[in-house]
Amino acid sequence: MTAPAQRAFRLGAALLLAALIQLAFSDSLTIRGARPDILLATALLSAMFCGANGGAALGFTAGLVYTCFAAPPNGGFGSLVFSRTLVCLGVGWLEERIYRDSGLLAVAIVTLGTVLAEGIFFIADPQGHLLHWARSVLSTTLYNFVLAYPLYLLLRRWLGSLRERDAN
Amino acid sequence: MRSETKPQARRYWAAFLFLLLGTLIGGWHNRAARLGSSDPVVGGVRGVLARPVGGLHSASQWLGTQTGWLFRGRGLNAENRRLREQVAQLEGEAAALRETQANYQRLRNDLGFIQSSAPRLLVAGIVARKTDPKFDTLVINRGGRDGVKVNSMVRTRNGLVGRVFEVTPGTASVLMLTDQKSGVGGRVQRGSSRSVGVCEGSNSSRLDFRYLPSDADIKPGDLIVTSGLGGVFPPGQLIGTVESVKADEGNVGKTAVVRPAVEFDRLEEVYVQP
Repeated sequence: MTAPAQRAFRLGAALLLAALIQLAFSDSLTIRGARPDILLATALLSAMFCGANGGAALGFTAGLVYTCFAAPPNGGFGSLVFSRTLVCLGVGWLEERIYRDSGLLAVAIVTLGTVLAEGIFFIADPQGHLLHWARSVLSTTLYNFVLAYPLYLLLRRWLGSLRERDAN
Repeated sequence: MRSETKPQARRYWAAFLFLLLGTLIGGWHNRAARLGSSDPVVGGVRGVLARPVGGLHSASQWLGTQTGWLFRGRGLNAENRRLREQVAQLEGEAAALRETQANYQRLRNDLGFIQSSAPRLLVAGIVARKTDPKFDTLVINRGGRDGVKVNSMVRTRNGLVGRVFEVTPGTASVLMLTDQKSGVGGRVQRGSSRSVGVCEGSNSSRLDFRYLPSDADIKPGDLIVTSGLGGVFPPGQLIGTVESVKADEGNVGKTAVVRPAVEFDRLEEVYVQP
């Protein structure tokens, strides 16, 4: 298996695992109404390692899986998929320009990426209760902020030597 | 300039394709939802993931039940005492209700009513609950193959949970009463008052019972049941208990805050009436 294929396989596996954890355990991981979006955080971190096209693919997959189980009532399906695809595309595009293998950048990308994804979703599908939307976005962003660094370290370890290409 | 732009556009064709695909799938899904038909994309994704996700979700709930005492230790005795008192009170009420039911049945037989059969209920497990905190929705492991349809009623032993709004062959999406897009016709269940209104969700743990007339006879402690007026839910399904009542601005009507009968955060399985 070639290095890019190996990397795609590993990132895909990481995303699948994140999806299973998100869908099955987010209920149990709820703290005072705050839920993490592990799937989005993993997609954003993975996009840091694979360029614009790969980032869009990861964002699209993460968005589609998430949306199928989040089951937004009366519209919002496409907006959720689109917002995640666009934000991960942006992160992948940044990887081609300002990428630094840094934990600090990873935390910033996950935090800002979560806010951006939810912001784009809100523009595409305005929510009736603005306060509820703002509260849920804030709590999810805080949760993702806390999880970003450990997730980044795990992903880095999982990709192992395949990251070397990026360093060169 | 042109020679630089063209390769850039070519370079990102896959990224734009995914964006376009996301938009198209969204449009297709919304159209399928409007027509009440199943979306094969959602069906396919859930078909692959619903079993492992449902299994893991059940396992995590079981683990939570088994180890919950570790975190709730101190409050457990008080909760036990409260529950024992509640059981004693409910046993008394159940006995009175059995007596009333026996009388009712006897009178019904005397009047020659035709016995109607009890509706068929399907037991469904929860695959995912409130995956996104913005939406109060459930995904259950029963779908079109089991006879579940859009607008099928979903409830537990305690009361109404909501209605099905999307069906795939093996799963269904349920809009819970607490979602901001949910509205159910309700009625006060008290002999002297039969006030009718609409129970609306607000993505919180309480419901707003709105559109009550200003002279509505409603007070804290009243039970609210479905009115059957919207055609989606049969009448008499328990929604919840009134906690407080306040007059609307300008005294044009009343709004009551209702505590749902169902504990939405502790749902483990539900019944679907196809």
